[in-house]
Amino acid sequence: MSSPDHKDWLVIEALQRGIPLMDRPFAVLAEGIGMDEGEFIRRVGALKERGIIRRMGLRIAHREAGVRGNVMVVWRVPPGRVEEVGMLLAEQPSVTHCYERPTFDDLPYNLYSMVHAADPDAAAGEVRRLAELVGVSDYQMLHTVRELKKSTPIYRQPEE
Amino acid sequence: MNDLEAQLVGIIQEDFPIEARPYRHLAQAVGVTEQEVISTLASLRRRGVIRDLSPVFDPKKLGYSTTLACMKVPADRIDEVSGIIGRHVEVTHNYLREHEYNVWFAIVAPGPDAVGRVIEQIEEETGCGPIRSLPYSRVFKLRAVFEVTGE
Repeated sequence: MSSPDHKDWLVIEALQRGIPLMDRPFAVLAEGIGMDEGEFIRRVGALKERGIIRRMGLRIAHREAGVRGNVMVVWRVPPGRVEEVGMLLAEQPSVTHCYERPTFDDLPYNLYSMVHAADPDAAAGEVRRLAELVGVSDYQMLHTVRELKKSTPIYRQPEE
Repeated sequence: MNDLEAQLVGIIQEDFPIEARPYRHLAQAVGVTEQEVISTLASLRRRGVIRDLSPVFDPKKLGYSTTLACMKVPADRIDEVSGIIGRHVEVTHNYLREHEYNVWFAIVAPGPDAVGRVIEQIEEETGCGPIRSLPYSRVFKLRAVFEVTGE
């Protein structure tokens, strides 16, 4: 898997400015970096092919879009069951993210998941169902009290 | 959201067409004109329902490192501390959560050392250490696409 070359980086930086709502949006972005539209589109396709672009799409402002039931759930899974439980959680449509993370004495959870439901009540019910399904009773729901920041990561071409 | 809006959002949060006239392609898929697609998306953006229209990159493949970090912040310092955290461009998300560790934030920076420096700076600037850094060791699922239905 090769890393992006200089021209790929120009394309990546252009895309991060946002795809404009115009008839030929890629032509506009390409012009900004002195590339022709055809090459720009080919490079975007290749970046997606290589998995550097994970997903080609817009972001939704979740709360406004009616996704108020999202909750972070952390699980303390016996070490020998992490893989099995992680894979089982990953299969559930309500689970949007699931990661294994390091533990600390006061943070003994090794699996972190985001569970998505229509509202907080539905989320609580879904989490109970998941707990039963995976057979893990040591878990905690970390409800969001407030969103303090939400932004898009900024990627810049490394200096030579 | 009306049906057309929901349909468009459903398609393009997943798969924006990579071609010269992407909105015409979308228009054909949902049975309206190219201009209607563009004006519908413009309206959704004005109303704050959708944010930017740009790709989601894989940070690792761009040479970037990420972590999820958390810290214990006294209730009366939440606004001040979240202001300090938020000024770091490498912090992409920050949430106040119901837990002894109440402030949870994500860091995306060019390499593990850069991530470490952001954490050290925030500890120094806020005095709310130690920050727990929880970089993932394994991804079982990563899927931030939601089904969208018309109201």
